[in-house]
Amino acid sequence: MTEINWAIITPLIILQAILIIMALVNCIKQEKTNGPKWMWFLIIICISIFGPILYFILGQKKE
Amino acid sequence: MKNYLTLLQKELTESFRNGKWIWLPIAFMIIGITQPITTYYMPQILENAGNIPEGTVIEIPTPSGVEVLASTLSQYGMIGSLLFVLSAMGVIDNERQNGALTLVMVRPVTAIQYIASKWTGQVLIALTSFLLSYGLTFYYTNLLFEQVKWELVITSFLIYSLWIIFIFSVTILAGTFIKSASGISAVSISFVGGLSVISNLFTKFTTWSPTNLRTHASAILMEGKLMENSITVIMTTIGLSLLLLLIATFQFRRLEQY
Repeated sequence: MTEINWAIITPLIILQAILIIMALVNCIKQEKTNGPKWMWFLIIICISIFGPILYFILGQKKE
Repeated sequence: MKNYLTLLQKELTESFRNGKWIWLPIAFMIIGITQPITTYYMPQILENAGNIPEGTVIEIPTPSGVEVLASTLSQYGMIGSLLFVLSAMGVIDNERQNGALTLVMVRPVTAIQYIASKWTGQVLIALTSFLLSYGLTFYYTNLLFEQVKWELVITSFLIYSLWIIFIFSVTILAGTFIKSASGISAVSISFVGGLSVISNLFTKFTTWSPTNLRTHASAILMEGKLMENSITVIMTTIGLSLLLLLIATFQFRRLEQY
């Protein structure tokens, strides 16, 4: 691979990291989620970008 | 007016609490800046993709800045509309299911205040996300490709925003008719999708269609001026959005009167 300009890529990685961390924090704080919590943990971590979004759309139990 | 502002404030705090203010902007920023970055690194990506016989020469012309921005807009068109509908599908339905709606409606709140607060709350989040994402993409395009005139970017932003507003009007209207979140999203997506299919098939008769806004937004970037018919499209979109909200208000009032 030719050299990568990290200044270009880093913001993308940071954004993804924020998204994942926010989803995880929200998931932990939530008393109950739609479906088991560990499943959402796996989804958030393993599926990039769409995992956290899926959690935010479907995972939160509306009380 | 005071009721409306209180409801709007409640709507915004709720969106903070369930994380919508975070995931929607970030998801949009990722979708936006991926486009210029992948376009910029396309030669390297192809080189490393394998499957290409040794010695193949692929010449990819460097796209101009406006082309990159226009392709970003078409990215928003597919995934963006879906995200918008998904983010707004539950706004009325959730409150109905957990009973918060009854609590709100026993107070002297009119249907129009309620619908308008819901709509503004969602549109505010969506437009903020779009602004952040488009701004960042604009910055990246200037950095990696070439300078794009900012007036063009702002005009295309405004035109595209109307499309977003239209999507939310459709979703809110669907929310007053249907009682399940999945049904709401399915109906809104098929309505918006159906409208764009029809306008693509019968271009002659559908010059007024709101789905043409997306074409107009990228045309402004490419050609630097408004296409003919754009005023018609803009007017019908604003009119249709207002009409949909009005129907939503009436339907909502009927629903709350049993």
